[in-house]
Amino acid sequence: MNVPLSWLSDYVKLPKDTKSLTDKLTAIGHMLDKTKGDVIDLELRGNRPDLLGLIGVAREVATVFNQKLKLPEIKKLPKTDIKCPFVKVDKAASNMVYRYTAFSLKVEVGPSPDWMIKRLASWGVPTINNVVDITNYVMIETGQPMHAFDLDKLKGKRLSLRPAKDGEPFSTIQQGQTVVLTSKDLAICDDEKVQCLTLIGGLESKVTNNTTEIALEAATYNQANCRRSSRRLKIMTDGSVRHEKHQHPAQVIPALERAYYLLQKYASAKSTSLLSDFYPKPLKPKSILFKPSEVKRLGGIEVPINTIIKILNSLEFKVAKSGLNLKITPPAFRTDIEESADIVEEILRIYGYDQIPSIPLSGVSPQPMTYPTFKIQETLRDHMTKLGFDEVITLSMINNKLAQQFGCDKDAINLINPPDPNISTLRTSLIPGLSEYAKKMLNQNNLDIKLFEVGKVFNKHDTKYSETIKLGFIATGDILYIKGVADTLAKLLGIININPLISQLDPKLAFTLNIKTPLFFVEINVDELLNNLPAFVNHYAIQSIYPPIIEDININLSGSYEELVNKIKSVSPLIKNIEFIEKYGDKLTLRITYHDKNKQLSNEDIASFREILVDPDFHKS
Amino acid sequence: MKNKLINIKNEALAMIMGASDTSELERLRINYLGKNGSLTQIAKDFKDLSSEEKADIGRIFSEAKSAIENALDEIKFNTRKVSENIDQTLPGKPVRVGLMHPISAVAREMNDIFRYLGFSVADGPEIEDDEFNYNRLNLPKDHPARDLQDSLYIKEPDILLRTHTSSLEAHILATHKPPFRFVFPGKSYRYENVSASNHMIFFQYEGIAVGENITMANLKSTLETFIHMFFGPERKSRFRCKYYPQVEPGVGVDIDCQFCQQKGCSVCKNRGWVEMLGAGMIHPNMFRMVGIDPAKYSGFAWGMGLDRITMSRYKLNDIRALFNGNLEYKI
Repeated sequence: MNVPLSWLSDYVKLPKDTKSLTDKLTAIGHMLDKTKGDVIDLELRGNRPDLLGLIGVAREVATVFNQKLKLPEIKKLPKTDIKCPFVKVDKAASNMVYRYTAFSLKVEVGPSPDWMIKRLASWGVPTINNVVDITNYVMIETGQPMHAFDLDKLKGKRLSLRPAKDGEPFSTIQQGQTVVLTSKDLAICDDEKVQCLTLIGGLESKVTNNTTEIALEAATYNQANCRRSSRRLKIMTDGSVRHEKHQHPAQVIPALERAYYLLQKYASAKSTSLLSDFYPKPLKPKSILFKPSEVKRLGGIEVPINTIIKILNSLEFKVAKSGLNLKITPPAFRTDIEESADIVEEILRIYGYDQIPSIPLSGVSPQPMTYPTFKIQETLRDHMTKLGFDEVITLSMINNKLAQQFGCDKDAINLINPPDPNISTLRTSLIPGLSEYAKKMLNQNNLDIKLFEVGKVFNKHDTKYSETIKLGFIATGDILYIKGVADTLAKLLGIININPLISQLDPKLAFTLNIKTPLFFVEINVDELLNNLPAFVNHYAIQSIYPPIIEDININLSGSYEELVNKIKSVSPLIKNIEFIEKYGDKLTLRITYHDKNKQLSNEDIASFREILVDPDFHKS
Repeated sequence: MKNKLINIKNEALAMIMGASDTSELERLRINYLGKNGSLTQIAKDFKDLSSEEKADIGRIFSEAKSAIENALDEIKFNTRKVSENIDQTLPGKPVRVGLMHPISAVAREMNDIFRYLGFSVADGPEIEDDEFNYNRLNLPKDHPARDLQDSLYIKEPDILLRTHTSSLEAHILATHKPPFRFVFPGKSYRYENVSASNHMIFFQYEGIAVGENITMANLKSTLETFIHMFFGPERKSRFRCKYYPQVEPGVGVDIDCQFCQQKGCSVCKNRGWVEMLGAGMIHPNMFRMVGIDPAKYSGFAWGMGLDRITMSRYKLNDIRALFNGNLEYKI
């Protein structure tokens, strides 16, 4: 929100130093975005529509600098005609508008005074004529948008509000811009057609130099509906931004009163009708019972009761004592104040967040309860980096064609609204993404690839969606290398079988993907791993002080290697280690380590076992 | 003969391992591999073998021979003095290590700090429904803040990829009894066209502490301690009022701009301060929704951009490089 300081100073005395002003405003919740000469630009707070008007900003300044707020001059409006002849609201539109207030005036259209033209320019709106300029000027002052129609252009000289018809066209006040409406847009019509929307006026009934009589309105609409209209029609105006916020309907009257004053003064205006005020459900002021001790309980700081009352009064909150508590009634324009915690914030932000002390959390520390699903991922990161692998993060959504090529499209979940329609498949495996990543590295001439990723994959089962944590790793080299990595990982984790999926990237697929170096990968279901994870793994033992006997044997392999190893181990408890050396045809060379804790082994001690092992019939199952 | 060969090999290897000086090694070489050495002798009997046996025995023979040769070479190399022939001004042989992803590395640094402050680490689902992603975070339907978060939908209108890690805050509130303290780094998703500064995947780091008598003074201490431990003890921070639907009172935390020493520059938009995180006291509505009494319990929560902090920590100025293979791991 642009705030021209010379204009702001109409309503409150400003400190001489702009920085001390903007620092204070920032501290109390209106952060300075940038300063441009006389204009400061404050970041909008989503819940403070009152700050979309300069008077709202002035009120905050007055509070923090202990100044008086000077409200601008106004002129009382004509009496209200309870028949509301000028404004009719269709029942179907009653959820779209909360208040719509209008009356008609004779005016003399002409140029605005110079000072007003300059002020509007400093804020960022061009001058049109005195009538239109005054509606803009008052919106900037009060935050309440308003609109003036050329009354003679309104068929039937009255306004009716209804949902637009689907496909109904509307020409906006901006030359040449025509939009097509839907039944979700509120249309403000004369007896014939749409003359205005919530967010922009119409071309036909705009106020021109030939206008002699106007209809002036100010309204409060359904904010969500305004927001959706603005998105749907792709129109954003200073008015639409304000109507999207939670404005209080009570704001309509002071804004019209101010406009009436200025129109009389600068456009010789005279009212020609009573006030038509459609406001079927007037909002009553809400009061909140407030315990002053809440300030200490939430803020951690004691604020004297007199200071609390003074702060709230300066923000125009009404405060009455009610026993030990306070009965607090916020002003209508503070639609953000709903309960006790909101009042604590009001008190503290003005008292100063910088006054709050810094006190460490106390009491008994809650028991450490890091989620196992997180802990295992950290453990895997540790182990995989130990094994020389670099961690990468690839996208959770992958190219649809790639998913298909990897056969990962079967039970995959698809995004409904992907920013890139080609990338809409949620991954069911980490391997396609890792392969793409590896390919990129190969293309950069990194030929020694060791990558891993820990992350979620996503599946759909009928109408159910599931997500699973997986570990994937990919490397150049050969299949026994990557199997070795998986084996060592299993040892580190203390799990005998981690159920890895071990594979070479299918050469045909690799060829299609233009990957020329063989890639090998492993994928492990981490959620399953978690079920088998021992609480404790012992990687250590005391070495026997006696030297081992190490010798190589040749042995025929029939059946699996694992069976063979188990069979060899069963021959003697002295066999402490079996190392695979090489394979030639069906013949394996194995290095056997015999070791005894209690004595030095001699050749005789192991001769009988050796004989069993080298017997050609040993491993003929 | 096969056994004999293997025995010779095993015996030789054991002797070589046990040798105490180079002259003994030389003697062993002659003993096994010399003209009259035991291996050479045994080879002379090969002529009596059948051709099938020859192939088998021959393989074992050459394996034994090379094993003995290798063992001798290795021992020799190991006993040679390092300084003898090597120019030590040459670079060492590069050792390849594995590194964590920078996001994981920063998350771990942060977790370590918060663990020290009594927090545990949580994680949770990335597919969310409207209830946990919005409603439970005090963002009912038609709340204006929902518009700022263009979601990636799986099934409209209510199944989506979480747009912030705050959804986990809702899960934690729903499943744990106070007191508790959690931090949670995690992936989030938004409808975003990918550029150097924005991505449809981004990372957040959030935290929450709930109990009795938890105040903004505790919030201040916790976050100041974090800032000093993570960014450096000399760093300054400021706490200002800020609006977030999940908290009341709300807090914005800035740290001093390092690029200009607070003199004002383009990084800090001439403010001298850089926005670092959003925080505040957990909104009573968030407690009510899970049946925690907001008059008895209080708590604070905060959130920050893990990817932004990672990028500035490691001077990576393109968010895409975090995911697309353009990241260099320097060791």
